[in-house]
Amino acid sequence: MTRDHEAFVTYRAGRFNFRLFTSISRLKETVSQIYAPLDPDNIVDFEIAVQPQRWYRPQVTFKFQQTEPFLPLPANQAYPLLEWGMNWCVTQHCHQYLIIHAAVLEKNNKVIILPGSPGSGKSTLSAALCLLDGWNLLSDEMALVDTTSGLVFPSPRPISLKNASIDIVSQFPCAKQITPSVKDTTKGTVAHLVAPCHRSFSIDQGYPAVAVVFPTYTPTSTCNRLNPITVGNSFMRLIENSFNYHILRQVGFDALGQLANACGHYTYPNNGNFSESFALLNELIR
Amino acid sequence: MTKEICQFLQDPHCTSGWSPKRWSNLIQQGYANRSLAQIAELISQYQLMGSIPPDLHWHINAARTYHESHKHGVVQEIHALYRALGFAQITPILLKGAAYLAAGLNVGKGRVFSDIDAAVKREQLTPAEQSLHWHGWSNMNKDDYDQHYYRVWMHELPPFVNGASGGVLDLHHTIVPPISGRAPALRDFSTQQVEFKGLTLTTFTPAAMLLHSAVHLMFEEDFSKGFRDISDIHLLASEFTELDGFWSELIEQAQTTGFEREVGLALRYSQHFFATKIPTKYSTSFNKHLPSRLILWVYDILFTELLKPVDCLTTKSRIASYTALIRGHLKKMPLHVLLYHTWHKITVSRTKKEKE
Repeated sequence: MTRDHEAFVTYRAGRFNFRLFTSISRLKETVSQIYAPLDPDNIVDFEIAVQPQRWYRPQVTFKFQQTEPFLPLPANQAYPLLEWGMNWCVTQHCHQYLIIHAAVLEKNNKVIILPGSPGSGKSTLSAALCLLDGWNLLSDEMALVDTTSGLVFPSPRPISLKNASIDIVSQFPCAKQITPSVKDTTKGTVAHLVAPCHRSFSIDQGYPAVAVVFPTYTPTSTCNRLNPITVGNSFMRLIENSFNYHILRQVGFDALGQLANACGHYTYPNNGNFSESFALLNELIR
Repeated sequence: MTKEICQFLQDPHCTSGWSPKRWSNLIQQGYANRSLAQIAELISQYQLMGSIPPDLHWHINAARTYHESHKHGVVQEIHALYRALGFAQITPILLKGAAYLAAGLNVGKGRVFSDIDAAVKREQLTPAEQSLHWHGWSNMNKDDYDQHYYRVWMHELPPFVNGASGGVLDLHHTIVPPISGRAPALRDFSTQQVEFKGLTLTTFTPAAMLLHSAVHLMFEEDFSKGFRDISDIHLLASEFTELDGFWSELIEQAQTTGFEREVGLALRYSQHFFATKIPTKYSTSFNKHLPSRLILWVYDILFTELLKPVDCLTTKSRIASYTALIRGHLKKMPLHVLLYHTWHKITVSRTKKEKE
């Protein structure tokens, strides 16, 4: 065995077990604060390494086994790099699910899916729903749609907050667990928020989706309103937001069809008035 | 302790009584060595799913799903290639990964590869290339030097990319660079026809296939997929040994083409990692062509390092990798050409950097 053999931590993040090899002690500390540690002899899904390189302008690299999917980043970005790396592991390998880039929230055993490109305000909205309105976070980044049942499976991990939304969310009364902000990443300043879990919900259970809502943050808009769109329109947009539709092919088409047929579909231009958002989204899960 | 992946590929039955941790290790090593889909195929072939901890099942199923999609793409590329070359009445010979798949070999089950490799006779290169261009392929390296490098010195044309699918095709006319002075004619390799997805395809015969795989490995300069390449040799040999006359045909083909040493070395390292079974009569015959003791001692150190299975923490010895880089290039081209090539690559990369 090579160097740093003992320098690892095994933990559960969402539905998956990771073994992280790292010599960065601060990173190990952050990880053990955020994720549940596992016995080192536990089975693992992904063995990953985040290691420093270069002594001048130090950098960190992310590796899953022998694959390095990203360019190295400045050393202070180790934790965001780890989070992005873990997302990559899931989206590239977990083909038991159709994976859609979306936040997923649950209340009353019903799920709404918020697909959205960066800047759509889905993370801020998710944080608000979890912290202020009693929703459970199933996932901040990806909807895991079971290909046989069409149900959405939870894989809760910290919400990735960017730029102005860090200040907004940190003022919420129960926003206790936010990692320190990391500046100048490719996504600007980022911080990660651990969302509270309200009722005991089972990570082994799939939940039926009732609505697909495409949020767009439009500060100038005067009213918050859900605009219904057709299933077909939404279906095509979901494919665009999916990571592995092209790999699943027929199976992906069927799973997505099953999910989409059971849902209402809306676009949601909103101005960040949370209390109006809560009222509208609670209507969907009544 | 021997890595799980070597034990498993040697004999999948050895897993009876494995702890969950050992299965977990096998799967991680499968990812690291890009052979998880191959492992998944063997697991289903040997009906071992029941012994695997249920929490790990998804890895096996997902690897098969991914491979199904890969295979679907390859089948389409093969169809497109046959359509395009059929237009010029040329029948290509499929090589390596595509051939293993088309011939329905064990080694092809679950094997994921990036390019389609095919060969045509040297005199067919020009019409084949024209026909590919007409059917939507284009050359990837436009640079004058690269064009010269491939067309004058190498055994293949600059890689083609299929404009419709993005698939990459390497079109060969022999198996090693002519500039090495060791390139046999394509007709020295015996071929066979196989039925695959409604097409009649041409591949090398078993002996020629193993010969090609061995030569490819021993002329290699980049061993990032070293373990996959040596496990290819093991899986091919283990399947072909059942065929009548396979080993004597292999010896004959190796003699005709002058690659006895390469085959001998490849089989030696396959035995090192997987205890590949080779009838004594034939292994003695290959051993006669191995290098002298001293060189063999160096080779053993070099190749056991380069071909070993990797994991998350493995960094292969740099000395071994550089030695392999130089050795591989020297096998492909004489020293004066290599020096010119190196000088060109260094100056070009410098001017490119300056431009940036």
